[in-house]
Amino acid sequence: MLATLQPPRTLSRFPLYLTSRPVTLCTLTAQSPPSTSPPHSQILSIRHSLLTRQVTAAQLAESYLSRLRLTEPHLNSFLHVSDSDAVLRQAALLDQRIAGGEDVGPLAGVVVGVKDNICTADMPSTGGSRVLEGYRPAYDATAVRKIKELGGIVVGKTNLDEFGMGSTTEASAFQVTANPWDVSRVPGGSSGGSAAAVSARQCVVSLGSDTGGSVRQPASFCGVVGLKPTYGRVSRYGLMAYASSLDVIGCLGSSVADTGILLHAISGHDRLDATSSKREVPDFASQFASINLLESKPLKGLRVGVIRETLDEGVDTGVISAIRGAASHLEELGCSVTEISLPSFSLGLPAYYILASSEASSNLSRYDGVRYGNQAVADELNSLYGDSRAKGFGPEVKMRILMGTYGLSAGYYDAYYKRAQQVRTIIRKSFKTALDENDILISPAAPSAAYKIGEKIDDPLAMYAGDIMTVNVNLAGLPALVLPCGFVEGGTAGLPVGLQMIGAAFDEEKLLKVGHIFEQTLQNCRFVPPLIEDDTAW
Amino acid sequence: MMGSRALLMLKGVSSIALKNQIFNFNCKSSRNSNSSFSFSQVVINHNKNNKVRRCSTTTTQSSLEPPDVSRLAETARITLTPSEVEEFAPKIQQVIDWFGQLQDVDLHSIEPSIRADTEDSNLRDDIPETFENRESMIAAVPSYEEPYIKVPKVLNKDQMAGMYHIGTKTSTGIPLFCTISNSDDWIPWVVDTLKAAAISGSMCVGFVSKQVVYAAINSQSNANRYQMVYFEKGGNPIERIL
Repeated sequence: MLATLQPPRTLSRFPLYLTSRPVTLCTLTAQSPPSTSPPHSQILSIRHSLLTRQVTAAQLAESYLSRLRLTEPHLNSFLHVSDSDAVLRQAALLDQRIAGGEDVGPLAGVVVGVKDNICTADMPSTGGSRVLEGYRPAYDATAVRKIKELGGIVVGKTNLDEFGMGSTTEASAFQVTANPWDVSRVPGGSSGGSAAAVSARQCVVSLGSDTGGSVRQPASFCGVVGLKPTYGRVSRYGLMAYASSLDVIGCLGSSVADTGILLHAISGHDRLDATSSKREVPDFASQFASINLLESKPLKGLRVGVIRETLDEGVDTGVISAIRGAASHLEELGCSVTEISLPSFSLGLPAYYILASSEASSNLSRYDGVRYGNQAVADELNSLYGDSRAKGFGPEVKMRILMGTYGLSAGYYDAYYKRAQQVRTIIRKSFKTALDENDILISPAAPSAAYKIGEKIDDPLAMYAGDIMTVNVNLAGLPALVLPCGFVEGGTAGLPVGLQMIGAAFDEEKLLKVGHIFEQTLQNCRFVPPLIEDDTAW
Repeated sequence: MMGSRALLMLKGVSSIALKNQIFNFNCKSSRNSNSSFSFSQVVINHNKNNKVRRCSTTTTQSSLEPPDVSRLAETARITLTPSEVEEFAPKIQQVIDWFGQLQDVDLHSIEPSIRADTEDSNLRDDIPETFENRESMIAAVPSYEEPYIKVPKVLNKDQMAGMYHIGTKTSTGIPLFCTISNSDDWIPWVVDTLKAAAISGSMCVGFVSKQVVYAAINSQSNANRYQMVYFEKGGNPIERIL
């Protein structure tokens, strides 16, 4: 029931591909490859171009759509692409309003991809699962509604591991997404489609969801920026629930600035989500000072803690090297970088999987074939439930539901779920202590760069082990930003490695400020995959 | 009707150690030629809590029972084929064993956290609101007949509950009865019925919905001891007595 594996594609047929380049090892001092200028905010430059009438929203939308069409057969990032006419109509409406001198929102003309476990009323939303094949929600998720209200144009629904359960998109019921840096490799998951789409510039920004690292790990694998907000910062209304105490909606973009602007657009209290925070939302967009205005040590005084346990055995030497390089870069910017220890770090992984699978077993009980989704034929009610679910769910989802059912069974609750919640308390406290003494903590986002499609399918524990860098952040509910910091060997131009920065609760401002300065001062780092390098339109 | 439903042998039987002598019954009802049974059986000790106690045949790493995948699938309402059960069981076992490492952690006096952080009451007023896109919600229902959502029938307790005479055990001439109850606490119910049947020296058979047939055979020498057998049934009960 896993999506069929696709054979590696030859890029020679792809018209925009350049000749291969020498591989650059992850480092900030190697010979400079081309296209290494830091990314600028697409959202701001689109806004500028629209308001100065240099380009119309319709022209912009058309250029993204054509790149999407060109790259999609190689990437399969999207499960559903909006009808072109509908997209261009929205763009034309925006052009009218601009021409009429009206105010347009901060996301005006911005083409957005939305992960398919986030409800969109006018498009199918499958959660990557056959159980919801063809389902059209009756409402937009709050995050989607806000994007539309602020001028954004949703161009399609991106591929994911079924219901968010997985790290590669190989558990999608429909297709496997390819990594734009090397199409024989995974883009990461579960928001693999969203990350690949932004990486290949099929859209400007995208929404993902992060329960155990599902925005951050694909951002690292695809060389884009991924932001996981604090739990409660963004409403979960309309996000198909996987693990309700861990899920958040996150942002992916090609620059720190873009993810910050998107975060600001979707944040805020929502009366439809009882776990959404009433805290004021700072203006994240104001963090992005121009690099020219910065002093020589712009981050002077910032205390950075490197999490020692994340640079141990089991982590690729190339990744460790990239992170240490990033730490040096931060020191150059004025930070004081020290190594810190979080001793309970490794407990997070089993605790996470117990909590996530238990909550999932409860959340996924609503998919019974009765009120929505695919319905099996049965002559008796229990068989209707059993068969609809058996046919609709993939093997990974079934396994996690069964594990969760076990963990919540009478007599086992204390041994598993309750203990996992106690571990959560320990982890929360240890992060809080570390973040009292440091402004941010840094670590890799994953123990390796992107691996080959099909490499990790059979061994569940091997797949779970890759989440070690990210799950603790979800358990503690903290915000985290992942951004490209280096490369390892692989593919034709190297494979990206992301740096994870973890902040204190609700302190996304600091993460964005530090991330932006880090990014804008990074030398010799490629930000654009070879797949689309020749296309200067973006 | 009972006979129209295939009764599945409880999957859990195979994992339960058989302590005593096994008998295999092949009962054919004399009145309804369609019924046939095949059995395998297990012994239970009737204890005050009326719980079926499973015999663990494997050493477990913790004192907790290993996952019974078929039973979990039933609880989670996911139909699994036997080959899927076989495929999932070792993987699930492997992950559950890995979860077991939390047993070794000293969590004494640590409060469990429901989630990362909780703000004060974040509830909205309990005032009903009309959802504006009702048509779209209804359009998503697979099987709708205004104003009902249509589903297949649920097993009807009233039609089935009762005691049925289904034949005679040929070797001993003991009459066979079966009783049907859909109650979830069938064990105490069946045991009570068995005690009543024991006085008459007959075998009493208890059903639980359509899936499992339990028969209890009263030991002649020890009135408190019953042997439980499980069997699969394909036919109809003969005649309803009570």
